[in-house]
Amino acid sequence: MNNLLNNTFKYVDKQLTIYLFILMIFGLYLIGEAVGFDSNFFYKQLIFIIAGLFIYYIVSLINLSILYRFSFLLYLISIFLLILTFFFGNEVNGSKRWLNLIFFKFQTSELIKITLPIFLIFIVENYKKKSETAVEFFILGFTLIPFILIFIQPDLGSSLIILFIGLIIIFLNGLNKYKIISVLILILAAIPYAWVNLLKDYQKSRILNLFDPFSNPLESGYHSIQSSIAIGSGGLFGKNSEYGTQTDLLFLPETHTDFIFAVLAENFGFLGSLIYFIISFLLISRLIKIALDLHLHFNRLLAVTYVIIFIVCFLINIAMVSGLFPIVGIPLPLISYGGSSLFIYLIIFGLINALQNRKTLIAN
Amino acid sequence: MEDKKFIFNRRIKFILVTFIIIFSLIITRLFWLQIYKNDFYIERSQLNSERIETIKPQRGIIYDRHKNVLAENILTYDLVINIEEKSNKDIENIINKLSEILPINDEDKKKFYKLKTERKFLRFIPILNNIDTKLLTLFISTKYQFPDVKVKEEFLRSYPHAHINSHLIGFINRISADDLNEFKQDQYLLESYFGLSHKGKQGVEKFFEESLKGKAGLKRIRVNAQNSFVNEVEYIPPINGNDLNLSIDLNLQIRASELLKDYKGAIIMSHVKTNEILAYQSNPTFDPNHFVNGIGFDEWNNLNLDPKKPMLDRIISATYPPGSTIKPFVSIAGLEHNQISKDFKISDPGYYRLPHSKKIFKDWKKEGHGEVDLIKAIAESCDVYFYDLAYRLGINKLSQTLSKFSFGNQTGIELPSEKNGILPSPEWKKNRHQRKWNTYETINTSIGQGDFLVTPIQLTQALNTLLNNTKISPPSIVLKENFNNDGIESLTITDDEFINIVKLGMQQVTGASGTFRSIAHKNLNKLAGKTGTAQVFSLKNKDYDEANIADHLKDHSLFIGYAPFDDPTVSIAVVIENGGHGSSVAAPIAKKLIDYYFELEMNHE
Repeated sequence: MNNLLNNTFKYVDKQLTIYLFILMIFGLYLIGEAVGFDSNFFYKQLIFIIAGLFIYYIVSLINLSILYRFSFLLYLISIFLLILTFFFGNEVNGSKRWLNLIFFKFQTSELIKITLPIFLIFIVENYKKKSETAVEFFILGFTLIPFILIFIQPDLGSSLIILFIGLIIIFLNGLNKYKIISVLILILAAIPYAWVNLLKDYQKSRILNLFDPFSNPLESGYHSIQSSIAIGSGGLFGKNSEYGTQTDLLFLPETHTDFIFAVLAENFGFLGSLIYFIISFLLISRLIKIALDLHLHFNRLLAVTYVIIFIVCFLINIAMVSGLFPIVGIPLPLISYGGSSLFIYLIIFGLINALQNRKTLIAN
Repeated sequence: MEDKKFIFNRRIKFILVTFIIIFSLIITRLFWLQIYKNDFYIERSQLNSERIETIKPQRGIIYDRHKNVLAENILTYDLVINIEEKSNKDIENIINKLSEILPINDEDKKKFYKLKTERKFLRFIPILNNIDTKLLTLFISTKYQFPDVKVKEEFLRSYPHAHINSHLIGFINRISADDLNEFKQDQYLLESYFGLSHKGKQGVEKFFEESLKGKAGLKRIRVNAQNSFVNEVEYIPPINGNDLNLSIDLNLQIRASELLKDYKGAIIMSHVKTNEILAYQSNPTFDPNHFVNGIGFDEWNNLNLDPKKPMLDRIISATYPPGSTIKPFVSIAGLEHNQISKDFKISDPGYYRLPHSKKIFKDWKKEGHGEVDLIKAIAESCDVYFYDLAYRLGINKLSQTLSKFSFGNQTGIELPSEKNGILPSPEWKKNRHQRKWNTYETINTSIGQGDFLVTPIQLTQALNTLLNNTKISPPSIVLKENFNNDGIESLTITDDEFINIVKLGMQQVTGASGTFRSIAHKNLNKLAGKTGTAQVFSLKNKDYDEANIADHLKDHSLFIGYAPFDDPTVSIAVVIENGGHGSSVAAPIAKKLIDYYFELEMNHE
């Protein structure tokens, strides 16, 4: 028995696996709480978790150097899928984000979150002798392609994450201060243009609602108000769930996906949220420790980029649900319902395991 | 290379610190929402999920004295639209779609939008009231197309004998914007109308509103976001309104309305001893059922602009010169003040000359009545006798006695909008016209002309006061289970002897030479009374030619009477507008209704 356990944890990090397992099971419980323990969503998520753990284990065994070698191909495949989505995607609520793979609807913008960092870091590593500016322009160029494809779906949240991946890699790669300042100025200057020409009305009103959600309580402000009510009514210890909650009574839609944190905060209160944050904090610290302990700089860069994606999505989701950030469709990592999102994070963690495995392999 | 690693580590630290700052902000926000503002959000979440549904009480049922229903509540089906969270465009679409299968006309739409603007807190607004089973099945079969349209069971106030009791019972109507403003001034009123949609607007429905309306109950229920019922939190049952038993006799009402059918006028029949009203009829009438859910604009206009004034309750809200019906009361004044006695006689040449003036007052009988004593003066309605009496009595003594019979004052009947009428006196004239009293006005007052105006209910009240010779309680339309006179202090009006003399005169009215002698030989029920003919328009010495005068200038025909004359049990007052002589129209109607009353009494025994 002990032997079996040791073998299982030979290729996957024990602490990391325990934390993410706890979080996934907790997420599963919350989904049950939100839409019913006998619902389809609950069983599907259970299957996603089992399948995801399997994928996690498999990915942990990968030799990263092969991925680096084929990173351009992976990038091209991701872009191709995005283009396919643009033409043949399933349209839900006016945006095309999913490719129907018969047994499973796949959100193609999730895949690029994995393949883009590998490819960009491959560029950084291969062209480190070339001029820094050229590398930075390459990175920016290869980032903008998926950014635009996702932006027109439209999926503002995911597209900004993609843009963020490119920028963070450039930043971590040592972009000099003057360029940072110029980029910041460029972004600030682009905001008014984007506001007028690129954003759709509903996206604008979502951003404006951040400042005054009660101005439009039944339409664009509805989610924000209802999730604030759900969270706020949770109090310190959470609500007695037999007494009917906001989420039970369906006042807050999409509780099992983007707004799952409201279910948590309403049912378990402020203390429950803190406990959840502590587990997440343990997970993140473990991830950071693994990433920073890696030997090779570019591997470290890749691992750190992945960890940052995880943290950013985590923070944006909670900020959005608690009314600090506009409503952008970003699910809560490991907790929200959904196969695509869960698989992507498990693949990321698997890759981090694989990076760690390479290190021990080389060390041995 | 080392340099790059150094920068990398510094930037990692920078990013992590940024994350920690953002994270602290999130924790602060959660603290704010969950701890600091917890109470506020708990309340919000309850508001979110709780709905208050009111449960209407049953309005009290109104019966006549034999438990015939005069006003009831019948179960009907209304089609209502849920306008909550809907734009005007949505609502318009719903109505348009609905009109494709159901007959919704412009009037229905007008009513709908009127209610919508007036009653801002209503969630469900009726588009069709009281739909029949055919439309109901039609709607239910297509209901799936209309998630926001509901069939609502509603108790509708209904007046089964619509026209016959319209002025008496009145009607209820939807609470209007004006009513709401009135309620807002008075917290108690506002609370008492919580959950109610209608309010008594006229007649008994208005006067007994407090007792009839009841109190709404409420149900606090928890609903989910789709507004579907989850569970019940609180239930307060409604308190139904009190039923009301009127002293009115439906059979007499029906008969009275038949008798009055061709005339404008009023009939009141009452019990002499209890002063209870048995019949209360004013014609023309209207259908109160049309008012309950809001009357159409055109219909309302027609009713209001009709020169026959069907909305006017002629019994309490219209005033007429009493004409000769005032003479028995003037006689009392003469007897009380010792200006005449039973045997006092005058000679009537057909006119009266006012002493110290050339002014001549004609008697209605050109050739005069000859030798006239009081009995004959009442029986034949001799004007000159009363001219002379009034002159010697003077206006002050006359109006003092008349006011004892409640002329000039409301009787206090349990109905709204009763008029005062006018009992003329020097004091009244000074207040009203700032002029001095003239003696000839005293003469006019003695025959119920001039400025003298009474409501038909005042005639009833005066007659019953005279017959009882006590100060009686106001006319009552409510059935008193055990009538008890003991509690009321008996205040005699005048000497019983005087009353008997006057009653003898009134008995002679239906005698061989009285003004209503046409029934002298068939007066089985011993009807006594007094006729009256009231001038509407002064013809200034020109001869009154009934055949050639416009209808609206014709004299009013009046009659007050009671039966049997030896032991009065029932009294009657009849006023027929522009009916001509009292003896030819009003008196025969009174006779018929009195006969019918005794016929009913016989059947009951």
